Amino acid sequence: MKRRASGGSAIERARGVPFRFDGREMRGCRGDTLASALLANGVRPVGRSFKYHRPRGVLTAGSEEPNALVELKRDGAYQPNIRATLQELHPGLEARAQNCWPSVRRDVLAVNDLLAPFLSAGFYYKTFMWPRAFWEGLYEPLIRRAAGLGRLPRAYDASLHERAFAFCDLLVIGSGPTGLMAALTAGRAGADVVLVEEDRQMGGLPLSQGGQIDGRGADGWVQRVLRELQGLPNVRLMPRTSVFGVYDGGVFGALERVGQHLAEPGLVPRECYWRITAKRAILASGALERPIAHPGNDRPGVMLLSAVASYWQRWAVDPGRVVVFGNNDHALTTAQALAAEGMQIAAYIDSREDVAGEAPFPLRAGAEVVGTRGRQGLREVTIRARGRESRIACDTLGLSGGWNPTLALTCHQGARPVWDEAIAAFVPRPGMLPGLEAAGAARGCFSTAACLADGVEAARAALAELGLTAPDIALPEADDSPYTLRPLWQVKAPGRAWLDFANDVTTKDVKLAAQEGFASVEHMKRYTTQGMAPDQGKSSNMGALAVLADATGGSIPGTGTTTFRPPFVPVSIGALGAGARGKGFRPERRTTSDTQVRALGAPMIEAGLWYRPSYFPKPGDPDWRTACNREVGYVRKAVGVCDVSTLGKIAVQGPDAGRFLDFVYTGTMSRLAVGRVRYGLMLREDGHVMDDGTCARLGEQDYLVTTTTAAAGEVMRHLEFVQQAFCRGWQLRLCSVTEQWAQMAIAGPLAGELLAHVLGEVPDLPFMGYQPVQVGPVAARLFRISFSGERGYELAVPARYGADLFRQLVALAEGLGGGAYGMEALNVLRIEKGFLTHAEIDGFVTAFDLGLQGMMSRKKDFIGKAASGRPGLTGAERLQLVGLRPQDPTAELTAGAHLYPREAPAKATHGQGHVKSVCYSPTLGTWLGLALVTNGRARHGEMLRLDDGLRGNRCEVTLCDPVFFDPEGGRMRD
Amino acid sequence: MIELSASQPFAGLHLPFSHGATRLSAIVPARMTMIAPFPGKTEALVKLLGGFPAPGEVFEPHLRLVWAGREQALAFGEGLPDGLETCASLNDQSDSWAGAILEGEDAKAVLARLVAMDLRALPAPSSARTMLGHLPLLLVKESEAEFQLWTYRSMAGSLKNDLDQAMRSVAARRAVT
Repeated sequence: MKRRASGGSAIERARGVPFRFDGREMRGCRGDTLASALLANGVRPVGRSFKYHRPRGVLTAGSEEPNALVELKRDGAYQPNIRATLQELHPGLEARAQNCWPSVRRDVLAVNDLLAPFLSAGFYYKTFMWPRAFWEGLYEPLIRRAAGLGRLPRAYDASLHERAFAFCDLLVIGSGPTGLMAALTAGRAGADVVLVEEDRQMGGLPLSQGGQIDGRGADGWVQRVLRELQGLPNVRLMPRTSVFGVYDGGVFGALERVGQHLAEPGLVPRECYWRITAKRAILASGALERPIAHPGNDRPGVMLLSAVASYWQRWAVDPGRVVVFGNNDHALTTAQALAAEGMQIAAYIDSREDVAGEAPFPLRAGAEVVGTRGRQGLREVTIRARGRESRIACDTLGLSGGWNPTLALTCHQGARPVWDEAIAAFVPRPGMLPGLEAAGAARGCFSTAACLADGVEAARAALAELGLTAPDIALPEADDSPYTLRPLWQVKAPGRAWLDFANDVTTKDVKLAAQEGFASVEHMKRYTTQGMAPDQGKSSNMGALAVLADATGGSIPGTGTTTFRPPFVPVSIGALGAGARGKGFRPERRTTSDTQVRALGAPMIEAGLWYRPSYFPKPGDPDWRTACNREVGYVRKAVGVCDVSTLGKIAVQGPDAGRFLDFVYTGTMSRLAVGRVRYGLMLREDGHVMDDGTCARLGEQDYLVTTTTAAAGEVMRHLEFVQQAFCRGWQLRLCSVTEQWAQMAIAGPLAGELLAHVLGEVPDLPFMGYQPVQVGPVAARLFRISFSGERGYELAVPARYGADLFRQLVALAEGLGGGAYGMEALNVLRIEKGFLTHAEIDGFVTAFDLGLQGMMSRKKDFIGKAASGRPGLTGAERLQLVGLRPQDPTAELTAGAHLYPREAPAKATHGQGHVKSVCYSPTLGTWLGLALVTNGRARHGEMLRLDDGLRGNRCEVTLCDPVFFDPEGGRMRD
Repeated sequence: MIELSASQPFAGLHLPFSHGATRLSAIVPARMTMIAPFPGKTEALVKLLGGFPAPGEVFEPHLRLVWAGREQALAFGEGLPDGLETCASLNDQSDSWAGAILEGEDAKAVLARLVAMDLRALPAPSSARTMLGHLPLLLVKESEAEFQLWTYRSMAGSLKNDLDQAMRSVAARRAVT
């Protein structure tokens, strides 16, 4: 093959494009696809087949391509399985053939082809049965290495992808005559139209096959319509976009190739994953030509006739001497048209007996191609007519076994198409998918005139449903020749005839499947792997099920189709995950003190989506625990400062606020005095603990509920649900004020002294009290609460002042011998005191388990009360909260470890419980733990063995009360 | 007694900036109050406020009222009428939100990368509660080329990053032929 001297509507000859294929420097033109450029450069094998490693050439000119899958290199990374028929050429493009070594022309594994008799469908199920142990260790790895398409890149995919949303009244899928007329009709009616086209150029088949529309060249008509559509503000044209799936509610998945064709994409994403929501959709995706299964039909040079025409018309590729083998009128008229344009048609072979016509080439009716020759590419074909064989020398064989409507999208929600005997193909039924109708060739109307009319008609129907008036639109004149064919699914002659080129499935494989009992089309597919390659059997499904029907003696409609599922075309994982890489995966929530704590060198840990300081290292610290111990010391001996703004804060306001809180908390909040704070527990409906926190009464009808950081959203959702579902009409409203207030914990024996610097005096505030205060002119809130067991305050200011408040508090604390403390120290302080977090409130515990049964009011009902009294949720069999101390104070405890009797083996049947939280307590000079142990409260003083099988840690521990430090609580109350 | 200085939600995030035909700028926070009428008290509230926005509505009887969720609206500005607290829950939200203005010819194209909403259908002005990528969003459409985007203050950095990336991408696409 070579480039023609003139022609080629898609290319700009003046703009040469250098590229490399398998290390060879080549040159194409701007507008070329990689496939057209390779053909124009005389490249015949472009890859090796899946199983037999046979040389394979370009078969099609579209996304249905099964053979021309290549590896694309860019910036040191590579993409496998790129369809050369869609990949546009750009300067510096570097591609490599797949599935071959050392080269596509000389491939070592071509030896497989000699072993073909042993490698029939399902051979590995039978051959590699023995010895059993060899399957996973030897056979499977070997088969995987030998088979497969493309190599999975091991490097991180650094390319940019994008996702986007689009909305329209009418989505038109496909821009051939049908799609263009549909878009034009709807566009003129004022509907918001999105017209998508897989190709770089809009226009569909007329771009490849020429012809006349509206008294002029089809290409000219296409350009005129496109110009009008581009001028309509309500029409969006989306070329290079494949709709790959239809989902509920009129949502369509589409993949746009945005920067894949650019030499230097810069910030342009490689692909964009669109979710298009359309009120109505018209499927104008046309039809795909089908090959014919004849012996030797897989050689490079064997192409679909439509592809031969496309490469000739659009990319000026001269296929050399061409034999056309068809079974339908369209094949003959195409051959005649191409011959008229100067293509060398060596012969036209038609399986029908009654074919006649004027042609400048030999026309052989009642003939079939029964063989091909040519190792690296086609050299000649063998023809059989009336029992006699002859040979014709040629470079290209153009196959046309008829056309299949491209209907896969209509079946994506489970509906099945129906058989149309006249065109020997499946067609969609009207109403298969709500809101989507097929039109034109996609529903079996094959003449250009019929497509134009059907496009208008489909648009009219959609506009009527949208409540818009369709304009009068003149139908352009066009060819209306009938399309007749006599089905020819396979040529019965000796030799292998391929159905599925991508997965190397032959007619024999399908017959074997039927013979071995896999006679259902779904079973045949899985047994032979037909239709399971990246092309999803677009050029083989119909042929395979016809061969199966023949083998089983059934009819084609009786045999049925396999299930069509999204995606219709391959979609890269990068596109599906667009926007969710790195920080895009989860948003960050940063406190107002974030800049300061990072400046202090604190490593950050994530809690919920929040980032909080782990600890504050100082020069010379040998490890993190040194910093942690120091910070615990601040709080126990002087004063520590910690940003606790991340805790959820929910304002509950209104005359019924107290009544509502009584209903959601286990305790009574309605009798809380204004200016007082109470610790509260919320249960889920099932009686287990949901969250704990404080509840402050700020005013008569004004409460502030605090939640743990990670459960803020869950609690808000719960409260909203309870209010709307159970308390409708109650006079109250909820509002999250988490972000409004920056709240700092000030804890330690010198907390009051520090506060005096901040407020001008130490407020006379009792433990569990609240009062509004002023920090200069700034109205603030002061709570006397403690999560450390020391005298503690929490000072809340509007968030804009948070950064400065934290900075000044830390400076003041440092002046008093204290400083900032992080999450590690906070954890040590609370474990020393036996205070709870969601490490203990793990979703499985009840208030009884935590020893908080006393907080469950007997005088009122509350959410979870009834369920918490169910048998099995209280009693000696429950895992109950206990403290743990190791026998040897230096013996490290580990969270997640299990507890067993001292002499018992570490088996589940002997399990006594597990460790929830641990810390090293610098205050007490020992490791401490909180654990859930069966009947734990009654077993204080008992010794168990801690066994952490995962980390290999074992030691003996004594069960004790979970409050290790200052059990009377005098330090925080005084 | 100490004195406190204020900082803005987008402090250190280098707003405003432009990419291609789109500009992102920070809104200097004004007084924002979340108003949620108690059940059955909407009529009394309407009398005091001069109206209350239905879902998606933005209007300005005196103060600008922006629908901000089920039976709640954000009031922008000072001067709420007296007696409002008897018929509604009132919460100062001036520091809760980080707001930015996205404007320009490609503003809708930028939002199409992040917001799964049909912005064609929204009149101007109007509001919607939705998501911007993974972020909670209060969107106020001011015109076909101007949108206010409000998220929680702590997420200002993520809002800026997501928009920055989408703006760059849309600008880069303009150069594609």
